[in-house]
Amino acid sequence: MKSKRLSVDLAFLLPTILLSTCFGAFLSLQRVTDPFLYYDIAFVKSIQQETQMVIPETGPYASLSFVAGREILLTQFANMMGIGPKQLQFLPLGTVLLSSTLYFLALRLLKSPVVASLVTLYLTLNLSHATALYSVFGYALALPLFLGFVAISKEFFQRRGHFEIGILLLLFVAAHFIHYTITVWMVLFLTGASLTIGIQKWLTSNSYAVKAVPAYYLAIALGVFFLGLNETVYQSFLPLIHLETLDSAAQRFLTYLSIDPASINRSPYLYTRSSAIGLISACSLVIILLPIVLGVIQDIWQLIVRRSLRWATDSQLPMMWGITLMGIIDSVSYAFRGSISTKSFSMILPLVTLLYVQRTGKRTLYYSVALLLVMTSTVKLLVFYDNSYVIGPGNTNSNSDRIQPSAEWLQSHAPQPKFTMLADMNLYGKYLVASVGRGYEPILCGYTTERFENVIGASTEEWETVPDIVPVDLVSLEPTTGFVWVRLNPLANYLKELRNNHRLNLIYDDGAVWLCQPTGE
Amino acid sequence: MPSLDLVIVMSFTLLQMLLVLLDITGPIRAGSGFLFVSLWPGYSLLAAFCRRYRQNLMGLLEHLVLSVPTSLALNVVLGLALNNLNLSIRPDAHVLWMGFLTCALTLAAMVHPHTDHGNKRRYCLAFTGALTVALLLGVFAHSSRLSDTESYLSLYVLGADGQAVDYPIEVAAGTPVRITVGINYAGTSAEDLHLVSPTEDEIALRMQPGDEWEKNMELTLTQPGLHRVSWDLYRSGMNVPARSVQLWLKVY
Repeated sequence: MKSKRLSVDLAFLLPTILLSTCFGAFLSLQRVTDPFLYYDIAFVKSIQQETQMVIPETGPYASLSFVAGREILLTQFANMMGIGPKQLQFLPLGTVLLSSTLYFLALRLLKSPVVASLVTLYLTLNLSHATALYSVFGYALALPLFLGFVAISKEFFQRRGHFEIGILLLLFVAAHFIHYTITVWMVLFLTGASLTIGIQKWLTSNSYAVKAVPAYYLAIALGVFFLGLNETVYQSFLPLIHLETLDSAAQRFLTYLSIDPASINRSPYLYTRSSAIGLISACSLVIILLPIVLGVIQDIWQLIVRRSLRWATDSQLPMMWGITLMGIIDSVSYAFRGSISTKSFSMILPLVTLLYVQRTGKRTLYYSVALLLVMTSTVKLLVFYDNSYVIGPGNTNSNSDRIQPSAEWLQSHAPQPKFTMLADMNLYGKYLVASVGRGYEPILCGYTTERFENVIGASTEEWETVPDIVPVDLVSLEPTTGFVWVRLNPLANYLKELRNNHRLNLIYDDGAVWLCQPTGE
Repeated sequence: MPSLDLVIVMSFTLLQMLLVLLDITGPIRAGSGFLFVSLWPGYSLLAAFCRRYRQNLMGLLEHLVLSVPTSLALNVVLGLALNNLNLSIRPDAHVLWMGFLTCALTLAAMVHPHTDHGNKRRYCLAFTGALTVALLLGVFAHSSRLSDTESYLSLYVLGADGQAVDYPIEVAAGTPVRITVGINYAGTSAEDLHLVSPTEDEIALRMQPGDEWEKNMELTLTQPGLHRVSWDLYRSGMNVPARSVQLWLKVY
């Protein structure tokens, strides 16, 4: 019986991984990537000939000191696979790592290989998070650790073992060096799940009725470790917290859903996605969150008001509340930094959604919701493709090879080895990778609305800082990404305005890229 | 008789060590390298230390899948720990210590008495699946190598000292300014071009692949005011410029 079940589980796992990998290969051919990944790739390229990894304290790679483990892992992948970092950037490794671990956790929680397969496909085919998950970006490498952490925690609450503690600590420490967000997720999940077990025990007069044991000490230890050793909190999180950021977070969230209230005084140059993209993203969020909201209300009613023994002894409740608490706090913490994050909602909360739907006992509804989730991802695929957003029928931006001639020209003709470059994050990343080992280094001067207006000649204000070079991707249909979640319209939409801007010389043109230089006025 | 899974782990670890030490690249190395980093170390660790595994309580699927995060974590933590000893990022050093560790853990698992996870057919299915995915990744990695050169045609303008700096901004009427204009061409066949310049008559050029052309030009503007000075490069028989650069000059 056990053997037959294993065959069924494997029979669903393998096609799920293969289908996810094929989609990852498609994204790879489309050259989909996260702009921040260029920093990792450039750094890995720069240390490949070295014997030791030393992250510089200043310059474009300084922030990588928070994620040293990620750089080690990327170097190890490139070296062991015998490929270059530029190739590694577009390999669908994340899809394989993620689909296997997510399938396993979903199978553990939902007990159905069909639903586990569907929830895995929902995430691996989901274009909203494709840039972060399909390749070797931080989330792709750290999320499998989180999924493994949750799976082992489930056992750990039931049965204490030295080995489980060891593995949980190993996963936590590794995640700490790969992506700080995932480390926070681990601490929040463990705290939330332990508190839920504590509440369950408190509500039942017979403490043996609840078999699980909370892991307060481990949660506190991990929390202290995180707050004591993770400098990101103090350098990148706390300084950004202001009350105004809450307002801008709300505005960005409404824009994400393609809702633009008339009262919002937005710059005309801020990027707005097609309303169809916003609509499908909003539908997907509603499908995920509605069952959770209703389920949590029911949980509270049953636990606190009715003191139901069934609820108080439910072994799935700590997992559900732990993950939900993690999602809510993650989202709120990002809101204080200026952008409501829906990452945890979309990536992890569908498991909780399905657990709540499963609890209703209606099998048709259970399978329908799982199928509906996959359908939102496939509809996204069509809508995104139709709008050339992330993927498209043609190139959505100039690939690294097309940037190479202008990068070489800059190397030969740049007045000094270090020069400031006002560029979109994606484009800057390509120049940064191209500059490795060539004796020059572009320094990013990120876009703000004011700088964007200066470039397209829509402002007569003086330059706040005059950049040495302003490259323009002539092909890009993607938003111009600037500092801290600033997303402006593609510069390629303003080529006529650029040409007529008498404060900008156009000094280089190769059909893929223009290099411009402010006249200094 | 050692269990089949541990024999497979040991064999593929040794294969990877050979591939790296002999510097053999290709789809097999890419696939094997992926498993070497993301599967084998964790698998051997779980096999060696997890008591539940030895008591046949950990299922094959659980063992195989939990090996993924465990392997990644082991590589990160040990990689950082050994970085100061110069052992982390050199391929030969990394493959040796991680290879020996994986083999040692696998041997440790072999000497402990334990039972298999079910029959050999399940092992074969699971490991064939993992190897197939790895091989597919390897083939994809090998076939999607980025090309270093593409055909392109570029037109540029340089300041007085031949650098992308100090372009003239203001100039007295009738005073000549020196500008350098250049063209780079990389393609598969020769191309006929003509450059329309504000300083002299149209320049006809025949560029061979890999050709670079540069010319110093002297520009004299007599009318006061703001001038847009542009150089347009046309492909043979085309009315729209293929490339165009421009400078703004204030003449007083």
